[in-house]
Amino acid sequence: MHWQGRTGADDIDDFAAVKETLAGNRHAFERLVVRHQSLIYNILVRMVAEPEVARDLTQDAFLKAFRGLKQFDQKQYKTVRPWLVKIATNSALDHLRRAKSTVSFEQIMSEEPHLEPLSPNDTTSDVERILFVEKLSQALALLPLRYRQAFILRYQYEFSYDEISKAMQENENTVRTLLFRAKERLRKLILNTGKADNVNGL
Amino acid sequence: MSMVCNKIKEDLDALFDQIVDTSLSGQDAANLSLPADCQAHLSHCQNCRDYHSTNLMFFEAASTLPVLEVPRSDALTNSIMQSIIAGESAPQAVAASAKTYGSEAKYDIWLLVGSFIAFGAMSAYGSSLDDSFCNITSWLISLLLLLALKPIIENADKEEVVSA
Repeated sequence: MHWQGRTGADDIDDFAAVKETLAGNRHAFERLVVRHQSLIYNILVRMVAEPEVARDLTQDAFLKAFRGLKQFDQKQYKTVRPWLVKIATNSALDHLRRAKSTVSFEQIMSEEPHLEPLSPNDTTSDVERILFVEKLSQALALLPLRYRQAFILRYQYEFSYDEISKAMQENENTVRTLLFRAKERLRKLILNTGKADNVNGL
Repeated sequence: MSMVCNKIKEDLDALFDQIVDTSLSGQDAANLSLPADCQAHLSHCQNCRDYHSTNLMFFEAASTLPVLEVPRSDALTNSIMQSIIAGESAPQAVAASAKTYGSEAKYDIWLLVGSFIAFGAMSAYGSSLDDSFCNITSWLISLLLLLALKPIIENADKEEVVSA
């Protein structure tokens, strides 16, 4: 299953759902849940790496969104999804702070974590494009959280820079820098692994 | 890596962004093309060619990254909506209790004032003037102390109600 892009009609209906919910029709909120729960769940899985936890956090994020719906500013957010992603991201960060992990929260957020290169493979042939996707998926898991999130939002879910900056609460220049660094890291992890045998980390 | 390569990579990144934005807006990315100077450079620079092809591979691969099915997605939707419906009565209950609490607080103040007047009247009637004055002063000090502490006590109570 691959990501199916959204349409402008979805964005319009999102705003309509927000409006109807605020007017007292709580069932209108269900449209937002149905449309965005897959996006939120997948982003959370990439962040916390535990499907069951991601599912719980998805529920938590939508409940927070419902409670905070009055604070949703349509002028600030041109679409609803970056606002939902922001809420989900904050929930995931809270979870990671609380979770007793062998990797500390500071390490997860670190710009320079210890990374092991993936095993070398030639990725030039068509046959190995599938392997490239697999390796990209693995390499993403090794990226610092912010790089990973910026990359996923931009290239998997095709968020605009404006949407990413709203979702990640960063300015657009920072988002560009995060994406540039994410691509550099991925390039090193995936493509330069043949040369990286003698390198301890990146 | 030369200065020219750095400049070309910036251009390639800009083109890469255009490709993503074009895809985002549902247009055909095939209409986008590299500037002539970029193409000329790529024809003789292997390093920049690799950079460009990797960019494109990232784009293709990222857009085909597997999307996980939400486990029991219908159940999740129902669970979220049930929590929302169940949770709606809680804020209403909190608001109602806060309203009751506010009226009770006003009632308390009038009770205190009333009791003070009654106490003052009774003390003045049943004892000497000095004793009455001391009693009333003591009571007044206690009352002022209580009123000073009242906002703190009220806030603590309200926090308990909200967290409940």
